[in-house]
Amino acid sequence: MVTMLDVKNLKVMFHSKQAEMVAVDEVSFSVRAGETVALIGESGSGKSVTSQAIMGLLPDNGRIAGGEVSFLNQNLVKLSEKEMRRIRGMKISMIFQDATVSLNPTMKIGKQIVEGLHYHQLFPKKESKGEALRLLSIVGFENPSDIYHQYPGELSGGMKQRALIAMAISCEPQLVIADEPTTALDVTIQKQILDLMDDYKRRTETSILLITHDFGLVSEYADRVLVMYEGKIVEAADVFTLFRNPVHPYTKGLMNSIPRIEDPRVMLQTVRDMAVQEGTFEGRVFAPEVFSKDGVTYHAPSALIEVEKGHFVRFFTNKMEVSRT
Amino acid sequence: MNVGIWKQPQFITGLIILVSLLVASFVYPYFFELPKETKYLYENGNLVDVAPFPPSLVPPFGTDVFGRNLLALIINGAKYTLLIAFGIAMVRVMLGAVLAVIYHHYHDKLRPLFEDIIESTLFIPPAILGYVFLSPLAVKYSQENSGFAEMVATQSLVLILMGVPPLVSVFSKDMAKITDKEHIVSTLSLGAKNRYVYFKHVLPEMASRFWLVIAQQIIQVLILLSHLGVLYIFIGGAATIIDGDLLSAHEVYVSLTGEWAGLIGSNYEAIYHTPHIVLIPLGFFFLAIFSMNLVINGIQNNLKWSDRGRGW
Repeated sequence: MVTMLDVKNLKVMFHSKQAEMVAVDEVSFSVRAGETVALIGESGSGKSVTSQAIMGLLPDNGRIAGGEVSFLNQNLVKLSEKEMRRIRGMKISMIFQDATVSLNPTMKIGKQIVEGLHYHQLFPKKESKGEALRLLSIVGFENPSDIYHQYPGELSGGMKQRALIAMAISCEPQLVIADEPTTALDVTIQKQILDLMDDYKRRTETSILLITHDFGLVSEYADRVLVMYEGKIVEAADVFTLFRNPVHPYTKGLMNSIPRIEDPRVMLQTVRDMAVQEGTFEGRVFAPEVFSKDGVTYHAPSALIEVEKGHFVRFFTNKMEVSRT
Repeated sequence: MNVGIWKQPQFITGLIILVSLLVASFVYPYFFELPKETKYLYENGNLVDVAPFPPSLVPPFGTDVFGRNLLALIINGAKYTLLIAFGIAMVRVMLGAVLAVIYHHYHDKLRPLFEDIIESTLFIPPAILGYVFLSPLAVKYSQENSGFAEMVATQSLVLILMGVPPLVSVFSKDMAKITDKEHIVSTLSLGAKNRYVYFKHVLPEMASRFWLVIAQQIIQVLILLSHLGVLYIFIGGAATIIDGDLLSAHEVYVSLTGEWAGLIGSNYEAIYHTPHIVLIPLGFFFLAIFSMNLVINGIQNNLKWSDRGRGW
């Protein structure tokens, strides 16, 4: 399978007046054609920043401090703004978390959907309305011509999210980055939206980078999973391996914090509970890169280690080995 | 602004008053002669009274110091006063918006310095700044006998430029808030150019705000014009007339356009003995400002309704 996106040692930093902080550190992963890769982690773990860095849409105070983002063997980090604009929307597009704020409230839906077509001049302006109606029907609207003339405020959350998906797929991109596309929706609508994206992916061989904090969605829709914690990928595996054998304490913590319907009386475990348990091994809480114990400084392995075929874990081996300096 | 604005009673009331004043001002010369000077009032060959005449003698507002009907002068001057104020406000906002785009987009590092300068100039009364810039111009044009249009254009330009920097600062802050919104990032993620974002998203989103600021600027310009009038700075220039008798001849400055500030300025010295000559043009300034406030309230109410309707 062709590798669509290959991220190598990506490092993103943000600066404030006082200091510069690392938001994404040495992140490496790839997305192959027609594959759904899930990037999972709690808020602030660096998932969205990773997606913004791929799109070249980091906020003004952010910068890519190192690494490569290759899309079909083209390093996006080195492209000019003009070259990046040709990639955005056309080859890589993005679905945002909250459609309510991601759609312009003062602009009709139809006009927003054809925006991408206009930038990339894929359709003459006269024909773009027909294309917009087609896109609206693809994402499940039975009355696309009505929706075309409506403002976002007139639509429900699920309808807005569908409109946002129509915008994202308008130029038939090869990679869609879905940044928590269902977080703002209720459970039944979540499933509809993800089924829609999955169906589109299967029909068009589009790759999806699914950013989420919901293991339920990951288990159903992703092919591979990358678990992010504090700006680093701490575990990566295919979805079956990860659910069968989660190794990193953070991954275990995330999984154990999901309520189980078959065992409702058990108190839910938090990520921190897991940290304390795992911390009994040499005092490590998610094994920071450098830590001291009893006056001795330890350096944990900083690279992802392959614990089984295709299953990578950071800072953790079965023997809990660290190098002593 | 959307069609909902026409359902705002305050907006419509304010607009009707202003439009009525303008229509009356344009129509007036077609039906009536412009008021003539009548300094002395004779009855049976005997001198009865000297201008300014009180409202009881020349209803409804009496006359100015030259015996001209004050109502006729006010109606005639309304078009100059209101249109000049509207024009200056309009150009200020347009120029402010264009410069704000450039300023917001390109001059991130200079922003704190610019903001400090702007904030410090806000403490200087605009009438003083206006007087400092416009009085040398008035002298120059009276000496060179330049054309009326050139005079109005130059004075308006000065008044426009005086008001633009604070607007650039205000608009650029508004633009910063809008460009931080997620729907702008969403647009950029589709490959939009910054120019497209400003023209299709940012400026249209600010359209209602622009109308609001234009209305606020009209009020500011009207207040500024009335202050400048007291300082004998009249838009369109002034004619100097020697008034009084042989023993007490003195210069009087009369506005060439007849705009309201000119009426206040040229009659200002009469405020002690015939205050109505100054108070009536001031009252019309008040009426115009009151009407603009109604318009502003209407726009603000409409903005609130629009926001709710769109689910913001």
